[in-house]
Amino acid sequence: MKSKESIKSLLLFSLLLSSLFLSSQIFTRIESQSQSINNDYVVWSEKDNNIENYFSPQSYFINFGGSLHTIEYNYSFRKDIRESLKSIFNDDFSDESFESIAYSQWQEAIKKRGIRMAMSYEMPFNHFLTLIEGKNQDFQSGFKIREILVLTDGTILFEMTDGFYKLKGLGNNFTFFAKVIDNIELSYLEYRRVEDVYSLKSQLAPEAEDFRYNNYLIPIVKISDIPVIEVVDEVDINATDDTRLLSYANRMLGKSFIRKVVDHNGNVIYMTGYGEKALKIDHNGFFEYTEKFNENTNELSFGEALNKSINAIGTINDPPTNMYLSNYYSYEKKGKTIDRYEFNYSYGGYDIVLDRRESSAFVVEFNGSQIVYLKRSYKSFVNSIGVSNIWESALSFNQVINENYDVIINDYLAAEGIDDFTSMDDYVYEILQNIESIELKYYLMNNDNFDHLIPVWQLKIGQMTYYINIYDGEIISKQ
Amino acid sequence: MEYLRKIIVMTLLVVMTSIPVYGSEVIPSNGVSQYIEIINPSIEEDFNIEVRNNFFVSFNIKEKADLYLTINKVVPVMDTIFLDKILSNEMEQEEFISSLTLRVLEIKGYTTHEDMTNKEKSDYILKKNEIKDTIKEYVEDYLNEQKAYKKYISVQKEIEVLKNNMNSEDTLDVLPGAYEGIRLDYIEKRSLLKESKKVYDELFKVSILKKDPIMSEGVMPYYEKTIEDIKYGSYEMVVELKNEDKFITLESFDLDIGPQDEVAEDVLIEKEIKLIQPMNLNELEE
Repeated sequence: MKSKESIKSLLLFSLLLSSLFLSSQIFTRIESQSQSINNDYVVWSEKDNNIENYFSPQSYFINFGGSLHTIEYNYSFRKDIRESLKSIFNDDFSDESFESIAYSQWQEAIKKRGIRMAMSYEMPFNHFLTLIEGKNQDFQSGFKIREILVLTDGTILFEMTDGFYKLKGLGNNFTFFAKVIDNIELSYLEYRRVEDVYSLKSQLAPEAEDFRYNNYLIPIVKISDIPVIEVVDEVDINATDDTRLLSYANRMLGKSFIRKVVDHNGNVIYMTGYGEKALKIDHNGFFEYTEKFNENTNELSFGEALNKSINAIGTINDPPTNMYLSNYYSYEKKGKTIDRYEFNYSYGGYDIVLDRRESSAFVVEFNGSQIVYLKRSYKSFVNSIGVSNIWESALSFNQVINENYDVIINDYLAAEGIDDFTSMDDYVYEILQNIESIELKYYLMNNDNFDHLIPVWQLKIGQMTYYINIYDGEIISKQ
Repeated sequence: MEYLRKIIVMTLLVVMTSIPVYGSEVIPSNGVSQYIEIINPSIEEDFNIEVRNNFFVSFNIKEKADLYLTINKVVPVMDTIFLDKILSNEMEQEEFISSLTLRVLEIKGYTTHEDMTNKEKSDYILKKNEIKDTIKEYVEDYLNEQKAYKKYISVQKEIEVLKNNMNSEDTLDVLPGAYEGIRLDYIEKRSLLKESKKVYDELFKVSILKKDPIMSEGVMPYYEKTIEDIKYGSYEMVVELKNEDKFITLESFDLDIGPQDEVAEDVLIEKEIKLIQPMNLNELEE
């Protein structure tokens, strides 16, 4: 009986010792983990990227003079355009370099030979210079660019968020720039301004002197031969063995204590310790990385953050060669200022829009210099599918509007709060005037076997954006 | 008497100056604009349309009507040089007509080949004869008009002399009657030429768009047409209204389509001229 009590005491004592040992191990691990979090640069690859390669305006509108336009989607020409701008924008700037101009001067210049580019976001002027020059530019100003217009006669105009400006005092050589336009002119698809095609001023406000012309471009010739693209997941979590998935986790999280969790949707999540860092790989092969905020007060310049973002995206796999900066903004989260850099990519010159359109394909967020969020939603190219045996050509713009007018007009009337009207057809001129952009894109559609990139018109009218199959005119998605 | 002479001379001068106006075409005012607004081509300033590859037509349809659009390429023909040579007996009329007939057949796309059926052959010959007759009629009317014109001009000169020598009573008594005959003859010849020229000019028009219904699509009140890879040159754009199976021309526009660059335009025109000259006539001219 006494010996039985002794065994119990011994067992209890050994349990106590074991618990103390294990607890100490956990505390040691946590300490080690928190150190690695502070060293936020540890896991990311580090190299100097050519950041000018990641600049791509949303649209490249070319004017050959008068009403002859095109939209350039060709990579090579787009690169030439950016290169030609690099040689133009190499002067020092000051606020005095900008002269405010009237809208009429901007409108007049649009008809001249040159290139107009719509930025993919309201781009601070120093971002623009940094992207053009490929190195960080410190010129600070309140200017944010919506569109830039460069003419072969040496004129440079901006549509900024607060009005129109002319850049003064540039004595640079525009020869290469003019040559680029000459080359594009050798073969192009013709586009016209919405105003030039529909004469909306004469319908809506013939007497108005301050009428804002719709300068977006629509094709006047048939568009054909844009193939459907078959794509696959960058990584298939069901088919790929754990070793490969774990190698992604090691790359992103470091080789410290990593746990694997499979959530109720079957997504694989790797995390360190108590979830200080986590990497999710979902059913689409998309990666999502999160990290707990630390007290990071380091500041990164725009150029540095851009470079670091590209490196972070490249830590998973090499970034696609046609990736570009598509958006940037800052916002507050948990009392911290978060800087968000978004990137998209394109195929055949056409930007890819994800099925889940809430953000761009690649996202990197910074808390100071700490990367706290990263997303990579990329699909690998498999096959190009010609469509000429199904569709002779894309529908004309008129057909696109006609096919979808019921949807468009109902959205428009709802947005405008109009419920008292005699005929929906009466609003057609207003609808056309409210076109805010029309661009050819690829829309990523998921299905069971293969994912496809479908050629679409991204048509923005008022607050709505429609993605419309260019061949059959069906609205694939709207938001 | 002196006073009466002055009145006669003045009356003759007024009548003569009014003749050139006689032939001008009356274009119905407000015809097309009642139904459509022509947005493209822009015809605000002139009819020189700058085009690189595509000729774009867009109309805003204001009032629905049974309208049709025809676009003709007008092949330029430098015929007056050769007609004047015929007039001065430097060229045979028949030679010109034969040569031009072959050129028109070519323009219209009527060709011969070895495997032609009898029906095709007879159609070709029929067409050839039709064209030949049209050209012949025009050439004859042209020559007659020119001869009448020369007579008329000479009388006009006499009138001038008369005006400057008002006291010459000898000529004044006979001139008004003689003049009236010449004037009427000229008007008649001119009228005949005008009619035959209408038919003759049609020989040099090639339709690239024929009576295309000007209709809007769905809710969009627009008619649009793009003619891709259009050749530079002169064109005629005709808007017609169909009324009880009859086409009424509402408006016809002569358009010169080409690039903005004047130098390039000159080169093209030069090339065009070489192309359109009747075969063999190039050699004859040399």
